[in-house]
Amino acid sequence: MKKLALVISALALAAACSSSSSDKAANGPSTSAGPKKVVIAVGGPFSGDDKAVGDEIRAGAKLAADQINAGGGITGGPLKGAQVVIDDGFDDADVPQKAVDNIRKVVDDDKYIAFVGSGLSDASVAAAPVASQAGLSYMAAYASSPKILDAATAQKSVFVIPPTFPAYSFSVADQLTKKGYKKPAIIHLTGTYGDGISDFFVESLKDSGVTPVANESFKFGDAEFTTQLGKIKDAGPDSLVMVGLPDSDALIVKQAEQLGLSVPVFDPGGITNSGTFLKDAGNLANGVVGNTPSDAQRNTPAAVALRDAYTAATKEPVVPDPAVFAYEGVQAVAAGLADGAGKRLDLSDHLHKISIADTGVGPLKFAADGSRVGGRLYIFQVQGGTPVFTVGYEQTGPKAIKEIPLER
Amino acid sequence: MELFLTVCVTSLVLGLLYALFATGLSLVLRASGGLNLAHGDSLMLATYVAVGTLHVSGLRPLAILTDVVMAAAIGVVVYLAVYGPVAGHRRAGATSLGFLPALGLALIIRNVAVLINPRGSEPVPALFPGGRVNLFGDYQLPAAGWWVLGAGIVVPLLLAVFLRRGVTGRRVRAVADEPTLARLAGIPVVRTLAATYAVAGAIGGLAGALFASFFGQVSISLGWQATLTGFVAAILGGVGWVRGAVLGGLMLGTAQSFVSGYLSTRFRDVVTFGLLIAVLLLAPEGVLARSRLRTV
Repeated sequence: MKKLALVISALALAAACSSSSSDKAANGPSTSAGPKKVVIAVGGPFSGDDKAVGDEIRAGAKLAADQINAGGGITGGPLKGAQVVIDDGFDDADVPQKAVDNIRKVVDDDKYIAFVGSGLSDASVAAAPVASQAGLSYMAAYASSPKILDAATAQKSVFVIPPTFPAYSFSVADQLTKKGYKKPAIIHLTGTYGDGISDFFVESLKDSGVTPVANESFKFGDAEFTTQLGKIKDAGPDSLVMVGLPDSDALIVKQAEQLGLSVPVFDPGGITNSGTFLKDAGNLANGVVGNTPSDAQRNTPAAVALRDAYTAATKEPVVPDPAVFAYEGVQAVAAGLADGAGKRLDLSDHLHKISIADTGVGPLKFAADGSRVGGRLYIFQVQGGTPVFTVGYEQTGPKAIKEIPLER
Repeated sequence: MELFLTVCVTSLVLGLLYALFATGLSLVLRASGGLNLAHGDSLMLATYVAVGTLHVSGLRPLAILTDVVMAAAIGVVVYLAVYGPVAGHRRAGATSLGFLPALGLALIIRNVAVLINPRGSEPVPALFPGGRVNLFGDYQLPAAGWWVLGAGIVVPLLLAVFLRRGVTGRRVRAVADEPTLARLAGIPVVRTLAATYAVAGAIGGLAGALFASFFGQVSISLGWQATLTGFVAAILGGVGWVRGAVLGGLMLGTAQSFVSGYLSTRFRDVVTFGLLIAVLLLAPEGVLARSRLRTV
């Protein structure tokens, strides 16, 4: 029986370390017999409370790879014709140390041409310096803190695909002040993501002469928010701004209602456009104003094609944000290779040169610091359980946005 | 005033939930000397299965029963398969590494929960009957809150009676005090400890159902959260004592709620673990150490 205990311990360690890697047998840029292949490492929270985000990252990356391969592989450069292989064996469960360990594994294995993924910004902020030191192209697909770019102190091989935090915060703050709210209260997750979005939100409000009447925080995994919401209610707000994750945001709207805190709710974190939030919050999701980089009713040919392809592949009617950015991350890597990159260390230079007219959510090209040029965010309000889009914003600088019309 | 009352209600509900988490941990620790690090993950897994049972059957009592029975069954299995054999092979005076298989078990159970739950967190409809009750101002306590208050008082009382009056309960106390003498006196030690794990698991399962129903959600992090808060509560009140678990749970719930309500959540862990360290330094056997009776 003692042996049994040891076996169970070993199994547990194996289970903890294991992951659902697909296509692990594939090689990286290869000149051996058979079609050439490029292997892209895909990581994120494939386990834990934020698993839904990880699953969406994987689905988006896989869709892009399938489309590229169906079109004949990489379209130019030394690796022309190579097939794209996704290796999703890099679960970080949103834990920064795991994210760092994963990137070290990717860096140490020549078969990987680039990394695409990551959920919470803390994980990307921790992993980015390792990728930067090694010159590995790191495509942050969902994490969007400017600190990710700041952390890349060596080579400029780190890219943030979504608009950065200021755009998220400023767009919803603009809506809040335009609607005439003067006494917002904030409840936000602690850490790079929650603190970052919240800080930029406060900064934007200040520019409009508005000061939050309360600013409360909570921790990852918390389920109890009534004490913070009670404090917020005590401050007499006219609106509530929440910066959390889909499950925590759902609990916040439920517990706010339980406390009788019935004020309009705003989400500047790009979270409430998720199936998890909409399902968990139920009727209480209605009225929430949020933003998302992906306008579900955008009707350009690329947008319709992306939506149709994602729905066909996953049976989901809407392309969630993590899937969109992972999709774009893989498309960007393929474009960088087509632009002439033949090996890992060349890729980031070519990524700085690429320009994709419309990936499905808009044009994609990167600034010198690795941020996206012209990243878009669309404002919506949940009505009848569905986000209804009202206006768009485009990021015009590190801390600047401009309003744009919806493409209908 | 409304904030103060809100914090008080939260303190009570959270405190009693922590007390229920702590009771199971404390009971096992007292009876077997082992820390069941898989306690929280067991109740988390059982709660996921209970929610699935509710979705399939639509029967709330069946879902609650599933939670309780499954958590109890996991407790028996982990004792018979791992904790018991590991303790049996331990040499006198040797360093106890019993926490390693316990950690392993916790990870296995967590991974099983991840496998059966594709989303990470799951919304939970009301498992317990009853409607919301307006307490003060606009504050409405959900039905599960009343059930937490009831269970947090009744379950420890029933457990105390079981340990004092029941045959199995007296055996548990005998095994806890002197396992060798208990064996010589003909007490079936293995069966008694298996029953202890079952009771502890059942209480954990009930706590899981109450937690999920109160918050309307179950997530993977419930497992570690239940183990950690239960362990801290047990230490605060006094390991191995039912009253200690309840008192420790209430102390922890109150400290966390007041810190969140009047200071900041950022200080919550500092205060929680500061309290734990203070108790370990000033009253290592818990705050009830001097006043308690010799009972489990």
